[in-house]
Amino acid sequence: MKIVIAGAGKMGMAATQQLCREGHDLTLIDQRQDRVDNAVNSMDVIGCCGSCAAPETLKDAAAGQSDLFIAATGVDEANLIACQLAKKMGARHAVALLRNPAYIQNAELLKETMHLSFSIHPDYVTAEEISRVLQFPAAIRVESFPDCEMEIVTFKIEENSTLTGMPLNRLGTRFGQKILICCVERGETVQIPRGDYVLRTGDRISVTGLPGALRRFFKAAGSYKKPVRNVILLGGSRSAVPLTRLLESTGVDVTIIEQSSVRCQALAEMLKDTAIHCADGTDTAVLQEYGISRADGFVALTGFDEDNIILGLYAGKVGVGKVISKVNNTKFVELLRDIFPDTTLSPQELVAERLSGYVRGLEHASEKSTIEALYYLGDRQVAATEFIVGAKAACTGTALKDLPISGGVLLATVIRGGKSFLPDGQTVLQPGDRVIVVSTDRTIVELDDILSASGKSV
Amino acid sequence: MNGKAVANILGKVLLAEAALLLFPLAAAAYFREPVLPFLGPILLLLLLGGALAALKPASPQLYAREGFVCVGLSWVLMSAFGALPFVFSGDIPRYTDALFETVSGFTTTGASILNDPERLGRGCMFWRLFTHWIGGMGVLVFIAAILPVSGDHYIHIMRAEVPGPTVSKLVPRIRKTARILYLIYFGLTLLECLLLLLGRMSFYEALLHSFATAGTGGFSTRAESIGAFHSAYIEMVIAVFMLLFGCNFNLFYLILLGQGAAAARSEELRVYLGVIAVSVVLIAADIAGRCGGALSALRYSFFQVMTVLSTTGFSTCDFDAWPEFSRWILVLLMFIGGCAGSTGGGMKVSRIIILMKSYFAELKRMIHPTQVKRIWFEHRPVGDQTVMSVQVFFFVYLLAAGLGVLALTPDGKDLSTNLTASIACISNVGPGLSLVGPTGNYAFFSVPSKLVLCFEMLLGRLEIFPMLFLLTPSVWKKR
Repeated sequence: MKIVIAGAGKMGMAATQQLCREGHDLTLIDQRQDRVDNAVNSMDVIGCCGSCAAPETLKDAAAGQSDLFIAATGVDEANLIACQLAKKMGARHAVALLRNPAYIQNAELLKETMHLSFSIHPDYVTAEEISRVLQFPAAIRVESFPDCEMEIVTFKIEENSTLTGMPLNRLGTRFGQKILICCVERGETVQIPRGDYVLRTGDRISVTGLPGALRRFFKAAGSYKKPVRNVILLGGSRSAVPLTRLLESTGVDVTIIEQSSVRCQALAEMLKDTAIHCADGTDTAVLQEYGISRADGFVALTGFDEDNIILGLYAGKVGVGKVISKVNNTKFVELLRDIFPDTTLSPQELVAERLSGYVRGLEHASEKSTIEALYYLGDRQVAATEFIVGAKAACTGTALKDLPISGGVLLATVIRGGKSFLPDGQTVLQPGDRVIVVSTDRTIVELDDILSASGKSV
Repeated sequence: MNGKAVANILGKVLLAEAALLLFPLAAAAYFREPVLPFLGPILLLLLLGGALAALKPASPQLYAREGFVCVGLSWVLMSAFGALPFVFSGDIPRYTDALFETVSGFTTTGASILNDPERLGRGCMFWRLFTHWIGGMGVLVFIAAILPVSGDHYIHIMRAEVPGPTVSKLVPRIRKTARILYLIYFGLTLLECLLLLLGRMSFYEALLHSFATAGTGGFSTRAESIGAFHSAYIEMVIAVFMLLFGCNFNLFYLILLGQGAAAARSEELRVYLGVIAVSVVLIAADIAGRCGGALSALRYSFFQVMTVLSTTGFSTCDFDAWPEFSRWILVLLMFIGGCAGSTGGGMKVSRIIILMKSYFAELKRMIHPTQVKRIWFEHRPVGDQTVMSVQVFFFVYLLAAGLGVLALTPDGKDLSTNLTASIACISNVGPGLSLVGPTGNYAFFSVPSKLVLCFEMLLGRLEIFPMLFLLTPSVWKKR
């Protein structure tokens, strides 16, 4: 697919990297020549220097011939103008990144009047992800699919967990829970386990199931932690507002510590009931004063990765149950994976994943199946893709146990008529069902791709 | 230095060369000549290339340094192995001579050490002219087009191999860019071959001369070069194709996209055509008296200007016998060369334009020291870094040509021979003046002189820096 991305900042670069790796043809626009040069030297993309809101630049970048135009600069207005121009010049789809809450509140209206295909809000995406992880403190990551009660939860098997040394096929008899382990990350390798797979301490496993079942599973496995009730947010950045709202709506107490008094005033206007303290949160004495030892959740959201990482480590040390650090530098996320005991989140990666899912959806909206959503598990080596089963799909009408489903593919969840369930051998897929497929194979872009080659010809 | 990744690419280069040697092998088999001189090198290349390509680097990353080293070493290795068929077949028994001929072929120079090329076996002759075609667009670009290589950093290799002050891709993917370039190259070659067939050239000669024109090489199957055919039609076809192959290939892509108007706006193209027009007229006026009529003067003048400016090096007459004025114009044209992104050599028209403009900008700056002025080229401002590297390139180019002359002096030949031999080699033209003129050749040079000229040809084809980096110790350091 021909994709033009405007803005080679952190967001733009992360999205470019992701989409380039997935085999799309990318053109990158930025006003700064050095950024363009850097991108062109390190990735197989073409660069174009100029303002993305100028028709000349868009023409240079052949935005009019593109299938998708993504405006990912740091300026909302430029993004909106660029999208409109690109659309007018003939781009098939246009996506704008928006940060200003005023625009986001009216996102639907903007989408209509500005002819956007969709808008993506990095701060909200981050906030949603953080709040999901806080609901499941034992988890490193939590993914939920739209209109589906099932969740995919990734967590690490701690020492002396009952799961250690257990083969997967005994999980059911041992715990009797309706859950499914869809992916295991052990050291550098990631795989979709079979029934005889034996779990070990230190494995990071991704489990799918209904939230209640998952909670019971966690309890039985001895790695359950209570949902957090009392959270300290360090840094009142933009994502702090939607995050606080989300948390407070579920009854969590939130304390925000922010250094800038101006920002504190603004926060106090937006968040009526939240405790907002104007203080330097990098001072551990301040953290103690505002109750870090009593808190069961700590989220570091400042604009400085280093502060977030170090204070996250500190919070873990003083016994906060769940720690989340926002890390903007995507390279840091990789480096920290084995060192940092808790969750690190990069808004850039979250946005890149959303975009990648959207692109896959665009690309393969065929009669046979449609991609609804896509998430990555296990260091991006495994994809969880939600498909809508089309009327002409080859895998309908036959029980799953009789289908030649290829190795490395797992049907994690079926959603039928608003109800989600784990499929078994007797399940028969019907058109209109939604299926979540977990696979290590990146070439699965349609539901029928899960059938092995011999099966497709049937 | 990521040595294994470089070795891996070099292995692929050698394998590609083995595959390309199958063509002369087929030609030799067709003409019932011994195929062993080709089979031997092919097996050797397969062994060595296979071993190198089997090395799996820990990371495939190739940064700028690896890119330069890759390109420099590839060309040296390709030439070293490409010379073997000539030696094994006995056509060119001495290895240095064969190496000179091969380097001259790959770098699309066309300088020959053969007194009588017609003596060569047809298989060897095929290989000799085919090297022009391979070298014209570049073998590493070829590899990018056909083999799976990580595209992320391949741009560094492409930059080192494709001529011009700034190299950009046509489309986002390096592989597609390389394919488009080769497709255009292939198409134009085929078209020329067809047109030459219409001029009653044999298929074998038409094909080989198309190879030589496409790479802007200049080897010919005949001792008298294109003049041997005595056909105005053939001369004009070849002259026009020399003009085309001296153009930036990006323009052909624009034309294919239906953006001919944008291609016509190219500043480089306009200057290129302007230089051609002025030189043709000046030389034609100068030689009109001795060629019998304006029309034939134009014919000789156009062909000779094209052959020198595109750095091909064919000849239709002995321009060494022309008046001093015309001879010196031809020498000046040798420096200019083709356009950036073409298969031609020389300093490239775009660099000359940027140099001229920076000269005028400097003049203006001296008169009005406070005035701020950017240099514009191709309708956009040129970065200071680019201007600077063009100036450095210009200096090193002249320095290399000058030192080259110095290195040739022990052979005791006259200044005009040494000077034009050095310029013709570094600009990848081929024939120079006096002893190395269109009727002469490079056979009389001593072995060290031939090696110096080989080095100059590689310097010119790869635009100086990749070759110089091979001799720079800091490039080889671990850090």
